[in-house]
Amino acid sequence: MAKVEFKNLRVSFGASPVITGVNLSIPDRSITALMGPSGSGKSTILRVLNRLIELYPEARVSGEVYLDGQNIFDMNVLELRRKVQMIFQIPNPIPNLSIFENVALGLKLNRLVRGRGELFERVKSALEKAQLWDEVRNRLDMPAGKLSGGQQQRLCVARALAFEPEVLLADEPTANLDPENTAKVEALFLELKKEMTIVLVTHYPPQAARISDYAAFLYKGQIVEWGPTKDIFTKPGHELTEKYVTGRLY
Amino acid sequence: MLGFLLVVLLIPYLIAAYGLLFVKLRWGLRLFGAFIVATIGLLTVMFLVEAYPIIARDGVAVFLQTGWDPVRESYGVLQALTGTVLTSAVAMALAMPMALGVAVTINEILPARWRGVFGSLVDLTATMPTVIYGLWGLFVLGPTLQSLVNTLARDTMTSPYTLFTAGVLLAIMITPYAAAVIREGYALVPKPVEEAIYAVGATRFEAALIKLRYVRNYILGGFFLALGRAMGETVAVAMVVGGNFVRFTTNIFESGITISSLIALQFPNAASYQYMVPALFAGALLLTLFGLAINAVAIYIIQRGQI
Repeated sequence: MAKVEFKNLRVSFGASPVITGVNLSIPDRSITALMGPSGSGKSTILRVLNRLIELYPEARVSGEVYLDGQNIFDMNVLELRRKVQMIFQIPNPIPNLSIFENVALGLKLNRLVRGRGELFERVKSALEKAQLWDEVRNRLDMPAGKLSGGQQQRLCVARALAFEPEVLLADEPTANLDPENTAKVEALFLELKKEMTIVLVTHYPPQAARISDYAAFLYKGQIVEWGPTKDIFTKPGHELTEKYVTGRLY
Repeated sequence: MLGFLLVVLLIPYLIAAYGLLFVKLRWGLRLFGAFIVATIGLLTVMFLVEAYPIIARDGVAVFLQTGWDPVRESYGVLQALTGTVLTSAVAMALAMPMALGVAVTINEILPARWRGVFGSLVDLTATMPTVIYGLWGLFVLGPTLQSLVNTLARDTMTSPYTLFTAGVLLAIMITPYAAAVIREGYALVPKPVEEAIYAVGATRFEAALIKLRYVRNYILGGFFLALGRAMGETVAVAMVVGGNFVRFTTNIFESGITISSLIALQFPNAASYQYMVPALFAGALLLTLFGLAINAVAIYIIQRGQI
């Protein structure tokens, strides 16, 4: 059964439509890549899924989105965001909070842990999964803003993983990373998909080909084609898709 | 003396302007910076010179003793300094929570289309002439506070015009200043950081608290701007503080005086006495040094707190 289901999703910012009717099923415990040129609406779809879109007063959303068969717009938004975590394109730790606080904040706000011991264990385990623990174990009290870009992004991964989410949204998570950090993140995603559903936005087709199980190609707010990644890349059914995956459409 | 000071002040600015236009921008700007410091220094020196007669007569006692007796030419500014501290403390204690509330309400809770209107309205209240606040305090706030306080605790406030009245009026006057600075910082919280805060499941209220922590330097900035206004405000305070410059009191529900209102209320007849003008300048000197000390503390705190 599909973990996430979009039914006729439409989003507009003010007068300009961004998503014009998206239908898409995202299977559980797999990596689904959303590919497409800049401005095709990939990031907007992610922000609908955890309802961060509601931070943009000019955004209008219609249609339905289901998580495990439940309409997310009927869910408590805090409960939704506990289950659906997100990694952003620009690493965005809260710079004045400490490394520890950045990971612990969500757990504390949502009262997901009892006592300091359990909190520490959860933070430690999240930092370990994000492969950051060894680099920061001796300076957990340091402001997160002092970390390097690659470390900040892994801190954001740890922050998301601390929730033990069901769905992980990743908005071009490696766009600002060097090849080494990119490889680390990709390897991590392949490990994580055993436990959760990952929706990966990328504008770099080879990344989708490397790690995704399913791929959807978005163009001007609509899904041109979607299916198993292998099929999309080896026998695309649409000329636009073929152009995109072969690097002739940006 | 005053004319001499004006000339002294004018020369450096002319030199600085010359430097700015013909020598080098960098040097011109440095000179301007230096002369701003020099202005404060010269003011302090002028106060010291003008206050010298009473300092020569009484020593530091003029700053440490209370009472104001023109007949015996005995003056002390301690009760005025105490009044300044007490009214400012009451004002800050009330104004900071209000300013934080105003900032969060306007930037976080109001619908986006109302934010500009309400923001401008709050800013507008900062530009009203202080004498209007004073009139309102005289006829509305003072009597209202008196009956309110006396309902809660009988016979606490014997007059509508007390240090407390001045403190509350000051709080209302300085809230927009602090709120404006806090709002400015609040609007600078980057969108990605805002998204991060909400993505980890913060409610609106929790998000507001986290953002306020992020902009704590602006809150400090607003605090000290408002404090400076509270300590220096003259007309409105003089109208509602009760004008008791004779008897020393630390009870905020009694009439009192502040340094600036003492100067405003006593200057008109000061020239008739030999030592009153120097005594008032001694007050001005004290207020200036006090203000400088507070600014030094502010700079220290903000630099230490920098990320």
